[in-house]
Amino acid sequence: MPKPENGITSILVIRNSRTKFLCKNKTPLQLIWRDRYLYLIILPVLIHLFIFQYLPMFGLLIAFRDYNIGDSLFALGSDAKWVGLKHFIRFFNSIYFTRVIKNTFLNSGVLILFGFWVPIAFALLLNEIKNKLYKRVVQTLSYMPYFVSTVIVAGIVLSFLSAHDGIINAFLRRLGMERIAFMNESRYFRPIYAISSIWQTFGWSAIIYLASMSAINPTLYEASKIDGANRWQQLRHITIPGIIPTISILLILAIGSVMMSNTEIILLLYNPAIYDTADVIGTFTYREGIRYGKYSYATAVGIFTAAVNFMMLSAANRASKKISSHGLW
Amino acid sequence: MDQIRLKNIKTKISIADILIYFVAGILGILTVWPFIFIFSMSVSDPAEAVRQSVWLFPKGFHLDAYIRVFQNSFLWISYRNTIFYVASGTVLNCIMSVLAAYPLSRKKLYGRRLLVKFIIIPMYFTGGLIPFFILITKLGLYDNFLVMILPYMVTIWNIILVRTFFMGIPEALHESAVIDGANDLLILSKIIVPLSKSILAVIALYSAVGIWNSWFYAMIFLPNRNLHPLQLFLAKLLVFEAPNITNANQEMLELLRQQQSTVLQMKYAVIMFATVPIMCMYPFLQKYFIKGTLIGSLKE
Repeated sequence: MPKPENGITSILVIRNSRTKFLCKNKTPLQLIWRDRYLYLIILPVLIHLFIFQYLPMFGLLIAFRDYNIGDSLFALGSDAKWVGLKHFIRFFNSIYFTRVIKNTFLNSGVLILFGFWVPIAFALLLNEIKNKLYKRVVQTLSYMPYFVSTVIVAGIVLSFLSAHDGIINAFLRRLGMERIAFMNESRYFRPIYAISSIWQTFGWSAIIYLASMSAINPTLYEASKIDGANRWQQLRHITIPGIIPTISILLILAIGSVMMSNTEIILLLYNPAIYDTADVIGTFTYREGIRYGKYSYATAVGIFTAAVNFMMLSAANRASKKISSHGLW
Repeated sequence: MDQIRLKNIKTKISIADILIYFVAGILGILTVWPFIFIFSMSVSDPAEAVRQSVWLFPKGFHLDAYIRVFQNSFLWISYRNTIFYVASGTVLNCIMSVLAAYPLSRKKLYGRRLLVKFIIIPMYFTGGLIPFFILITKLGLYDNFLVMILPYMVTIWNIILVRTFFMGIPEALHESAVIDGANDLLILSKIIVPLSKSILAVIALYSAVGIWNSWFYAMIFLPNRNLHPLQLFLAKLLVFEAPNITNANQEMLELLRQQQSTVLQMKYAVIMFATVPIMCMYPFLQKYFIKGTLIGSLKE
């Protein structure tokens, strides 16, 4: 049993440690031994991440091979059938290249253009509502669609727009107009995709903005009221500048995910008749890779997507830093 | 006197206020109307449904569509599957998140920065769908129910949330436990975990909702209809219109053919069946979701 003085000394040693918490007389090996339980605790997660995250990263190499399903994933020698950039070149030369890239950018672009500001406007609107109960009810209703799956959203959209028993067409006929086969005509796809995505996410996205707004110092508002500011001036000069950092970050993230453009919902909403507007990189990769089994080719497309994605993310980050001095990194 | 004074202070309601309340109300109603419409259509009189005269409120009350839908055994099989996937996936995810978050929350951990990098990198850089597909196939998980559980045991986002929470636990608690002779295993199990109920509730909800709504990997990896989760069953019924998704016998198919109108009602009944549980629960759980989102985004 250490004497009381020794006990106090050891506590002082802990409190006076430097940030690295290294006691001067411990070697790395001793530190590892000291933390042995912590390593044990985290080990299962590390193994899991290695198998399910890092091995697929290694598997990206099949984009440079002629891979068939029977082959070994990890072969590195000449039996791995290296072909260099053959699949990338094939993709660039393919007739689908322009279509797929164009659709990916346009679909996501339209969604960002029209959909990015909806949650912001909605949050600004809600912020002005003084009755707390009304505000909560409207808010709760607004993110109801977020909790249903993309399957349900697609099911709703498809049945509403159905050519023979959809409610939208019933409405059109009431107005004396002809039925429209919405899901068979390319020009309707982008608006449909945008509207259904906005419907599903605007209420939820507004939460972040509302949280930012509530973090704005209330004395700013009081001071402005004393100076005679009306509600619109307060909005322009206090609220909006207050949420600019949040907007910047979310905009960068949105631009950075343009290439990903929500494959799931498009997969559910599209059909071969409207591939020329609806087919995006994600759905193209799915079809070529999973359905047709062209693994190397689809992986090459995926790598290309990720590379472009990263470039866009960096560019957006740099631009945002220049404009508003806020960036993601 | 004070009461009289308070009553005389009228809050000015301007035109702008009325407009704001009105627009907000409209938005709320518009967002929710599809669900109300679907509910009404699913319980209405089939004759009215054909004439498409139902807009907001049901016309008549017929549970016919639901009865037909409930006779489909794959509906119940898928429902049972989803409950199993959600329960096991959520529990495992919580465990794994805690196992990862605790060591990473200890500042003194040797090699901590390296470990954090190891965990964070897959969040930004991923192998993509095809290598994942090949890996799953090579692991023998194709057409195996484990494919719905094993890959989702670790969610990096949840690990970050829990770690942020753990880092907020006072260091003094650790120190006193160490002085009392506890090792890390004991500290984790007997002290940290009991304190973490709130954050575990948040990530349990995230996991549960995520797994409940998932269907894409099931579509790729589970051709066996007996293993389908509910959303995949719905996808095949509502979207992909797989012809033999029902185990209907000839007689029922004839019935369906004769009454085309009620096919739509059956679809709406199925949507209601899948959606109503979530609808009932989410208002009560929303505060957990919001909390989680805020913690996570502030961390970023």
